[in-house]
Amino acid sequence: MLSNIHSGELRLDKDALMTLADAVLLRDVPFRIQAKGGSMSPVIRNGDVITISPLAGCKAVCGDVLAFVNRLNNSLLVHRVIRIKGDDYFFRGDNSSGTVEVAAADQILGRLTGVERNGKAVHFGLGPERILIGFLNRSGGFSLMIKSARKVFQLLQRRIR
Amino acid sequence: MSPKINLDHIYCQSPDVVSREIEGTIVIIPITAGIGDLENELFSLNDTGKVLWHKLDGTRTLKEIVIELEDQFQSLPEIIEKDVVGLLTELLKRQLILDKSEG
Repeated sequence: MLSNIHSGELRLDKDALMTLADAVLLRDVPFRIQAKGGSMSPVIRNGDVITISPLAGCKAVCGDVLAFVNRLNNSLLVHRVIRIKGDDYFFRGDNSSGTVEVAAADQILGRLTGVERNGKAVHFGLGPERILIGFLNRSGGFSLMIKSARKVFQLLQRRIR
Repeated sequence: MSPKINLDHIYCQSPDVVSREIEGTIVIIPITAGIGDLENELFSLNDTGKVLWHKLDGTRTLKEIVIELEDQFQSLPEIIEKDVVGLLTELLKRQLILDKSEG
């Protein structure tokens, strides 16, 4: 009668996960969930376990990474705030120089407060440097910077070999 | 060791869980160390479990709940009792419910 979902047959779709995430945040407690996709790489990589905490009255600022409901496909997105205009928040993934998503304040679920990779906490992109990343991300500059850094790194690796 | 279930006791849902009905199934998330873990610690209840879960509101003894379920499911009392005790043992072991009578 009682089963552990991850070992049982019931698979939770994105709507179900959002309902549960919302229910946990309503209790004013954070929730942990596994990230899917690489749009926030290198801060969040596919498979990292992330913690989303309620905003609890604290206003989000540019550079914060927020979880919000994307009304286009009713999915949960975790992206960085690149601009705030009144009640509208503009987002872009750190690894994306393209699409900017817009969400109203009532679509915001919470703030990214923790990233775990292979059981270890990752802090990059959540401290004061987030403000700079948010600023660079306005023009997609952070993504270009990361891509350039990767190319340089790969070049160095080839030379060393 | 499995916890002992007493039919004269009152059981209720733990305040440290969040539950929601999703597509007819009750999904329970324990709040462990102040965090709701959607990654590793989710439980689901089947139809019978769902009915029992809703009755665990801390207002009646387990014996009273068993009698209500006997009427509802038109099943033999000993079968209902065995199922209820089995499920409550699991729920109590995972701290998803509390024994109010143990104060």
